[in-house]
Amino acid sequence: MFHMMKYRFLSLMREKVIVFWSMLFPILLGSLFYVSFGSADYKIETIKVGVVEENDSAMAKQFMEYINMIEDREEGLIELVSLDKEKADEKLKHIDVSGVYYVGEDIELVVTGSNIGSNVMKSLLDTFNRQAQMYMTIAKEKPSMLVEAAAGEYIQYVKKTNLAGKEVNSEVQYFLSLIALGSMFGGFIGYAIVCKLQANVSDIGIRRAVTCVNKFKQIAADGLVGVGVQYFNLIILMLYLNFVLKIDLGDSAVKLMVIGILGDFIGVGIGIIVGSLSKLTEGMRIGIIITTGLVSSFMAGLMVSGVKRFVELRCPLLNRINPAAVIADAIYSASVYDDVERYGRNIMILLVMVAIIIFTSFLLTRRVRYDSI
Amino acid sequence: MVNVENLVKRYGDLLALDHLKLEIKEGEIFGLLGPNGSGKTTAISCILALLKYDKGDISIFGENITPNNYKVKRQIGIVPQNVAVIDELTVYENIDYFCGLYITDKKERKRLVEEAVEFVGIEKYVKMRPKQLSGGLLRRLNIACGIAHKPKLIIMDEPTVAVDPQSRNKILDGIVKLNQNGATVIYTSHYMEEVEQICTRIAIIDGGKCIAEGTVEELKKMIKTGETITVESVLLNEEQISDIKSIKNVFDVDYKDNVIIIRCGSGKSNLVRVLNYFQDKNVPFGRVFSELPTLNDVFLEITGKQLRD
Repeated sequence: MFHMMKYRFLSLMREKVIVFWSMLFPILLGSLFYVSFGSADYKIETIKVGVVEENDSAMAKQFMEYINMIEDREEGLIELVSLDKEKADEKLKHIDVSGVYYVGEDIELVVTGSNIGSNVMKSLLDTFNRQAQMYMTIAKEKPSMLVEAAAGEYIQYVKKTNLAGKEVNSEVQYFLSLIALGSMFGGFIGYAIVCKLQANVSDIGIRRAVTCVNKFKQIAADGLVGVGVQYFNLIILMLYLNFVLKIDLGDSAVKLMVIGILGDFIGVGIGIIVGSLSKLTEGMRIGIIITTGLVSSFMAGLMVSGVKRFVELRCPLLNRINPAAVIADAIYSASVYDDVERYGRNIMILLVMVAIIIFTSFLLTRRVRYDSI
Repeated sequence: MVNVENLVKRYGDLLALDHLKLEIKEGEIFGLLGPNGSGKTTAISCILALLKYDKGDISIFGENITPNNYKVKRQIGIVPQNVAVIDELTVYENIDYFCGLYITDKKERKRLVEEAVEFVGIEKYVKMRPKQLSGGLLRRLNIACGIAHKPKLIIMDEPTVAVDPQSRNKILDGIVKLNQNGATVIYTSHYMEEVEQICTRIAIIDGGKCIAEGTVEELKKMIKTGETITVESVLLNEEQISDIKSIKNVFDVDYKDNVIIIRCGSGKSNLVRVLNYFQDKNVPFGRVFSELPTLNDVFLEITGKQLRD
């Protein structure tokens, strides 16, 4: 096994096309983004938040207290604009604000659509609702703890969600999508693997198929090396973005590593599946890998800001099944929002995708006898 | 050692192997001779358990060959029709990689790889990548990758295609040497000269069927042609051609482009009788050739077409 892995590693690292697409291309694209945006020294854009106070219920009071605290504490993150309903409609229409909170018995949020501000506002509201739910639970089950809990929760919240100081501008989205693209371009590695594994695809495949090594062992050795190399590529990309281009990917390194490994399995797996389609020409298969990577990353917001948000509003299912969108969202929830729930949901989706892709690629590659070669 | 019984393989409507029957004995260099598309590679792929087949039985070393019969596969080496090496690895790494799929002991493997390198004569090129090698050297590397683990049965599928004559001779010498060292070889080719030169027994395949089998001498005895006489002669008329056809032991005459090809049955004095006719009738003639039958004649007579049609 080690013998096979060693030589698979050597050959992968020496394949120039593979190295270019899976490692250099995302780095080049990242550098291009960096140049296009003029600088990576991003300033936090203050988000204009409209507030319509509909009444002074207990819930409304709590929310106002909370949102004012965020404005004071996280300097420059949000700017509250008090509005009446008519003015709010007007501001929303002209996109003068990122969104409007309608504060009453319930807190409602209307956003202007595809922008980073509306994401932040949604996240703030989600957090508040979670906090409110927590208080209600404490009040019901352990009323004695209520005062204690209330004493420091908001501060704790600020630490937990860690919104301040993060690059919440839309340009970051490009770089996060770029990481997703890097994962998807692991397809080239998967493709290279399957080309040297399947007897109906290459002569090397024929030679390997007639050896005395179990096919499953061969798939496992090649697959592990492929994912490992792709993971290495992704780490290089992240380090490049973080330390060379100074893009703040947050301090959730472990979470990013988890996303990276799952993304790699998906990228490499897709390459194996596409590479196994022996009836297609080599050019067609490579074309499919490039197209899949670029289209899915485009839908995740790689080239045009707000595409992902647009898809979320029009067809949210697409964002759940597009691996690049899920990867980008998982990175976003880990590094910008620190939203554990959203991160967890994305990881679960990625795990399901990984399971399906591994199963499919195994089904396609496990064949040991062919109809034709 | 290898038994193929009534092997049938279809690709859709195309019958690639039609109840093929082969028996290869230990110690042989067994030639599978046939034109392109005759079913040689398909037969090899079935023997190697790579292809599904519709009917028939294949056994190697007395055991049914299946994709998971690793005990048998361990003793087989293959030299595929196309060069099957990894472009990103050096010559040495390629041989080591494929040898390592059979031999786990590092020291033993090192020795075997070095032997294989020496055997095919590519010592000077071990650090080079395959793309830096000439066609002949690549073919030799292809062979080294298939034989390094010292298999008992070596299957070579047209290993000399597109190889220069010098390299071809080295390869053929190498195959004979492998056989002398104890390996049984199955050798497919559409070059009759090669098969005739090295194979101890030959099966001629056409349309997926084995149409003749035996040693070179046995195969040649199967046909009517014992000698082919070629005479250059300008403007022979119909009467003269007819006369030549009636010479004793002559059974077929073909006159084209001022060259007459006379096929005679086996026997003595065929050439003398033909030359006597030309002399007696004062028919001018140029160069004269007399050839004993080749495998191409065998193929031609059995199938009615040239081996390389």
